[in-house]
Amino acid sequence: MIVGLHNKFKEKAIETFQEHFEHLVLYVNSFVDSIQTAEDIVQDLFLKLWEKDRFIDCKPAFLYICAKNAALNYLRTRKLESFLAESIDLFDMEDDNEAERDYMDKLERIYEAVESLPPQCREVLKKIYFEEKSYAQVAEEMHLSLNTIKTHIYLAIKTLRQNFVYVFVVL
Amino acid sequence: MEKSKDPIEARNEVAEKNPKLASVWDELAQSKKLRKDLQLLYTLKGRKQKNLDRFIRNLEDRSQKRRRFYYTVAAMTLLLIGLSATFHFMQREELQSPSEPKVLIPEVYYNISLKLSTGEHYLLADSRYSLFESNGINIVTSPEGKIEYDDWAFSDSLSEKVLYNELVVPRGRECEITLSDGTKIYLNSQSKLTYPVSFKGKKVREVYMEGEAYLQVEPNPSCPFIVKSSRLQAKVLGTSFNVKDYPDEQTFGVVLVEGKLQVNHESGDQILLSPGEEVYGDEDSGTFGKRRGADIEGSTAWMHELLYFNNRTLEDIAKDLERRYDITVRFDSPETARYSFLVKAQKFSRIEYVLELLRLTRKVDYSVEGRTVTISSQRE
Repeated sequence: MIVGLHNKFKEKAIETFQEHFEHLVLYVNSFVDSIQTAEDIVQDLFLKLWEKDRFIDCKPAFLYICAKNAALNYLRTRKLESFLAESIDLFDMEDDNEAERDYMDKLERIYEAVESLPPQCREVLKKIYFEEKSYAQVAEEMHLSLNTIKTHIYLAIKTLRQNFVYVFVVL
Repeated sequence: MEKSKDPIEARNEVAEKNPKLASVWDELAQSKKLRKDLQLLYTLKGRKQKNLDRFIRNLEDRSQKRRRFYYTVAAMTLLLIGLSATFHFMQREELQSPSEPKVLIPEVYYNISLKLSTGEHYLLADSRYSLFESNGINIVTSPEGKIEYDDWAFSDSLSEKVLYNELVVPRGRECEITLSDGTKIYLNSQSKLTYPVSFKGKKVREVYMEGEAYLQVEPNPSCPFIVKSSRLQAKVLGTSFNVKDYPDEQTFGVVLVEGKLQVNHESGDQILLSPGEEVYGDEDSGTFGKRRGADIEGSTAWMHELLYFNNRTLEDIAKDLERRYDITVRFDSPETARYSFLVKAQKFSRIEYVLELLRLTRKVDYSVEGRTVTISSQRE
């Protein structure tokens, strides 16, 4: 007989989803190399975790172990029916995904730092960094002087450094 | 697209202005993986809402499917209006929380108390305290039930004796304490913890408890951590586990979440646990043993302010409710006490909500006198 209110349980599940979904997809993507598939795998994983009430006391390291198992299982069977049982019973400190989680943290911080830049500065950075356009091209596209572009880049890099200074070895 | 020399020139300019920034640039620009992953992250962030919607839809779908599989029931509003006549027995249902049941049992708010080595008592009432023990250890308390020990002012020349503090968590409350070595202990209602103020220079870290606690022990390979309760002793190097040993209950045990743990019984029996395993003891039957597949969520739900009983008898559920809401529970018959329920709910601020939910199952009913709740079987 079920009594109760799932809301708080649902809240926790959603919180955990919002915090970790993208990073887990990136992690799974490194195994399956298809964002769409990775998304499906992680969505499926979260559903299984929900059914087993695993969000009550959920540690990130555990999520990464499950994600890895799900990815490997998919590669083996090409099916989405993953395997949650092994991960749950063998949550063993030996399986360490700390490096992966730290890397995801770093990505997240860079993302947040870029998003915190003033709009024009951010756009310049994205064009130079992601689209690998030249300064001259960006200057032309955005109708700005070369100097302005350079200043924007300088400001962007400075902000990025402030936001995750611990990541870099300071020379 | 022509990649001009601009970026390199600019990088050198930036480096001239501020050499430290050059390393940031280099890291970003030279790592192809970083660039690719950031691009992917951006893409995913763009789909965040879609993905979240998909997840929520699936969550609700699952709950729906479960309901349809068993006998279904109309919504609670219908029940309230009294269209109850023909409901057959509700095997499984998801009930909504009742709105505003009458206040029969006032909420209590007892104070958590801390006793220092001098014998002084402090109640974690309405202010924060920053206290100092005789050896310089700083204790910061907050009224919500958080205590932190800090050794920044510690000096072993100040006191030679081992100083102990005692923390008492009353019924209806919970407390979180961080010891001076960084170990975090969460205490459930009606629990006590006695512990050294500082572990510096000790060969073992030993604490005493009564009741229920979830420990996240700070790893220290050269100094094992031992927690003693009336019937158990658990020894660990660095790990997370839940100990439940209420002197007034005949069952007791330890659930291990992470790491490795050695548990001793007062009889001398010793058990080594791996994650997901538990030690379970029963004074009545004289059992003391190890079990796999421990219900970790069930054992640690209290820490997250949830009520989670995975097919437990009303008798067990009642013991938990008694401590967490400071009530007394009686049953009209032993049969009633043996009904089992699956309960998933938040820890409501008032016990009436929980009682109402139980009543809505149409299996039991309740009546209140003072702080005593009597639960009885409902006639169909």
